[in-house]
Amino acid sequence: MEAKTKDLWVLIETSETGAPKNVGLELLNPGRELAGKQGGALVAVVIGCNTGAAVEAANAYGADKIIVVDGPEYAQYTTDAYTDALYALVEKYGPTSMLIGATNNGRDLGPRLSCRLKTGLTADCTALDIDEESGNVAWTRPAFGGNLMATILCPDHRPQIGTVRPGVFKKQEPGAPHAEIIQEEIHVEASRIRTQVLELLKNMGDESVDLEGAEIIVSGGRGVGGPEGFAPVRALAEALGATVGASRAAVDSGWISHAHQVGQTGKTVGPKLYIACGISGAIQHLAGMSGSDVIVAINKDPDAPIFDVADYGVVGNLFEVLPVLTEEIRKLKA
Amino acid sequence: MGQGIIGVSMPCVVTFTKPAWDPRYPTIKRKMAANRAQIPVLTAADLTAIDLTHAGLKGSPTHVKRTFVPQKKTGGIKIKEETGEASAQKLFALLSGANII
Repeated sequence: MEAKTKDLWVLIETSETGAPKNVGLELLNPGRELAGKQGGALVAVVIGCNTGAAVEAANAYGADKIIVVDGPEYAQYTTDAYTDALYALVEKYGPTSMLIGATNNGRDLGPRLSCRLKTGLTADCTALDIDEESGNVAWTRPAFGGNLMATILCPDHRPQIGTVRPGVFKKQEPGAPHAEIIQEEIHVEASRIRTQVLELLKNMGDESVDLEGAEIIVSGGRGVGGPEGFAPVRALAEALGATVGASRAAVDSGWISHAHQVGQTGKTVGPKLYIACGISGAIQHLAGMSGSDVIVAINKDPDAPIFDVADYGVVGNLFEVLPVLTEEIRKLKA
Repeated sequence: MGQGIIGVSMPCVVTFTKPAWDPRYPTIKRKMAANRAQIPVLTAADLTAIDLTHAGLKGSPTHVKRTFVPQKKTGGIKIKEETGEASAQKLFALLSGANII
């Protein structure tokens, strides 16, 4: 497919109520700069059902243009409906490049769409820029478990597509809306949608774990040893007004729910303070929290890789260190 | 947050991040059968529907322009006192001194 414009598209993913997910709004931030360097407009693409709030948000967060596809078939994400709709839009408008949030849905939609368009996709990018030499988007992402970074171009195929995980970029301050809003009537036949959401099981209590918005996070890993081991972690979190996080090891062992997981298959966070307790610092965990402003690590093992990224590293037993730290903080706040 | 139960028509592809079960233990019987097994090997010549111009490094729409080693953070302060309690006190002093807490 040839590009018809120099525009950069950002997919605004919506929930089943039509509300926008944060990641799309975050991506309008780097999208603004990239669109400018490409010499085109920043276009938000909203697909969902009852998308009013999402359109408003895209407008507030800086889109020049918003293309809206609204319909009941888009309330629940399905690969077929979303790919059909987005493909039809790309065919019609021909953007130069597109950003998609690497949520569960985004990681499904991105590859599906790029294959149908026979174009390139760079997944899980950590940095975005325009390559000065060629004018192409320069997608930077980790390779070999994060030991190497690669900057990738999609020189001959359009649109250039990339996915970015939530939390890698922050939302800008909302401003005055100025977007041109285009409603597109695209409907996908039910017979073309081969998956169907039969039932939704909500985990009670998990909605209240806000890791992405937290200013302070205290996380526990394999070193806490069991579900009871989280008690000193929770106590410290409470004293600090922090959210409790966890490494994949602790979640997989069943000591705490997945809603608390920080890392490559959990949440990406960027708090002011991240305290890692009994967490070795595997690359996949670092991927989720290395953007924190200040990192404190407490671990018995002096060779734990977490100490390579910690601003303050305590080599010691977390069951001895945490209670004393918690007590001092309580005294300070009293 | 939560889980969805999704119905899908077949054929279909199902992917897993981490399955909720562990691998089975090998038994002597299965190990012996594995040694005897004839495993068919397919090559591109057998999969004629694949357009080879879209395969491999040459067929990739994306190219790596450059690679670099990520900058490692330096200057972290290591604390290792005689006791855990003493380490905690030192950490607290540093964090409150720097206005981090």
